[in-house]
Amino acid sequence: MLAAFVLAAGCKPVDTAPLGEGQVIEIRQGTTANFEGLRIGLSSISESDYTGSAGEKKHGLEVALVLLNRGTPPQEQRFDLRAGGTAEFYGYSVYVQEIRGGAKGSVKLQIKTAGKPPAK
Amino acid sequence: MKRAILYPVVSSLLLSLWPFFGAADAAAASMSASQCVRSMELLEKEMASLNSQIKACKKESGRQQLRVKLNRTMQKLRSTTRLCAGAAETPAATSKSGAAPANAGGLNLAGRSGAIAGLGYSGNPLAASGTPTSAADAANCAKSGKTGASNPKFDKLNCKFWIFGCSSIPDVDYGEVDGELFVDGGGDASNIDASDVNQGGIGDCYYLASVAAISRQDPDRIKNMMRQNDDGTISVDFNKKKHWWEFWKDDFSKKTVTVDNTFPLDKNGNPVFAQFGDQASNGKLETWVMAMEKAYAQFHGDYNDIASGGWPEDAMEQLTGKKSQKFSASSVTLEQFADWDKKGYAITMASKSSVSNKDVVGGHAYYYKGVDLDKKTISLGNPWGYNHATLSLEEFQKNYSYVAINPIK
Repeated sequence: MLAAFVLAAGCKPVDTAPLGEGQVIEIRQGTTANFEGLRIGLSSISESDYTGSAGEKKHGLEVALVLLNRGTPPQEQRFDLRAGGTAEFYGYSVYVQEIRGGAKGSVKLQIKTAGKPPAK
Repeated sequence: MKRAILYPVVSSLLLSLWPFFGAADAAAASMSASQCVRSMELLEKEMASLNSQIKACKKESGRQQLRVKLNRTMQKLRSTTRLCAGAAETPAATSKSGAAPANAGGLNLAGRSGAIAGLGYSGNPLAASGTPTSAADAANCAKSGKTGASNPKFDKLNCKFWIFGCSSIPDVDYGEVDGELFVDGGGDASNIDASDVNQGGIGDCYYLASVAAISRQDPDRIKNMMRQNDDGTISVDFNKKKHWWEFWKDDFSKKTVTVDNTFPLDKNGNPVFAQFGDQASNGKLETWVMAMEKAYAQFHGDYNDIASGGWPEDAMEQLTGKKSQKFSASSVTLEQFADWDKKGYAITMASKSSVSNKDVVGGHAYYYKGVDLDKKTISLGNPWGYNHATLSLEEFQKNYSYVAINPIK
């Protein structure tokens, strides 16, 4: 029985990419998280075939993130990303470091403010 | 959940004591079987409440006083059990068997009452809430001048693999916020508005969509559920639905929970679960949704118990004390939505776990915002507070599984 549980846990698909830069934030399917003036919602996680950057056939997970910039007026945009992908949005850089599939899927992001001049 | 553990313990204790109670007491004839069941259940609830108060109490002296009360209540329960011994042929007829005595019809005890009142049970509606049952209890348990309102836990939200257990979210702890319960934001129809609802990092969309649906339709309903107490704590009234076997009870019973003005915050002091609503001109941020979420967590046990999904039809019932109705999304029409809205129903809907429309979050609860009968579209509110959707009826039917409505009043 324990083996079955181990197997079940091990069967959840996970796509990872090398560690990036920025604050790590984990978000579960259907929920949101904040980073400064940015809200990030995890809309969906899907599994599909795709073509890699070198033209190779691949199969993996894709997340749909809905980003909201809490400015005036607020702006929102959807991004479909795979592990290793980055969304640039209103000065924020959102890097997808890990995607976990399954019914309670989640995504691990690394977020930093892009193009912001270093503090003096 | 704690009570669920306590009941079998109490029942086992009673069963073990049963032979010492002797034969049927003559006084048993003054209590009907249903009165016995009701009386014992109330006492068990009081014991459960006292138990949770003891756990939440921050002072040893306060805990000691509560233990004395608990012992007294246990004595009452024993007396009641003795009185009822003759009213039921088997111990299995005690309240927590969950069923009325099978032989209740043959006891012929109808019309005889008064024994329950003689037991001195107060019938305090707060008894099962886990909040202090008296001001004295609150004062005895208070630390730094606050009532014994406890903070629901969130220590099992970070589960990677079930077999390796769960842990708390890192860098999150309770902290006070500089907020006001209600703030009238620009463009709000009332200072309670569906737009104040902003879901955070836990999966309670079903509850927050229900809160938004009721706020949109009847903001006063939400306002009347909440009370800010003199000590700064907030009490919220919920409605507990009876179990199917509790046929002698009303459909819903009121249960009040009290929470204080602290919320789970990240290391920068920002809320991680439900977010602030509007901001007042003095800079203070609106907290009523955060308080409603915290109270709901306490109503169910803790944040762990509400964080992994649920059903909006149940949440609406717990908020209003009225029964919800469900309809398959494939069978509803835009005219039906308009009609329900006109009649004052709170309307929520659940999306399918796998959706084809990119504007729809899969496996998520939404609330109704309106229909455009000319353009033949329906507008749906996302409890995230953004990423709302406007869909044709066909797209709605393709991506949603059902609609739940609640009459509120």
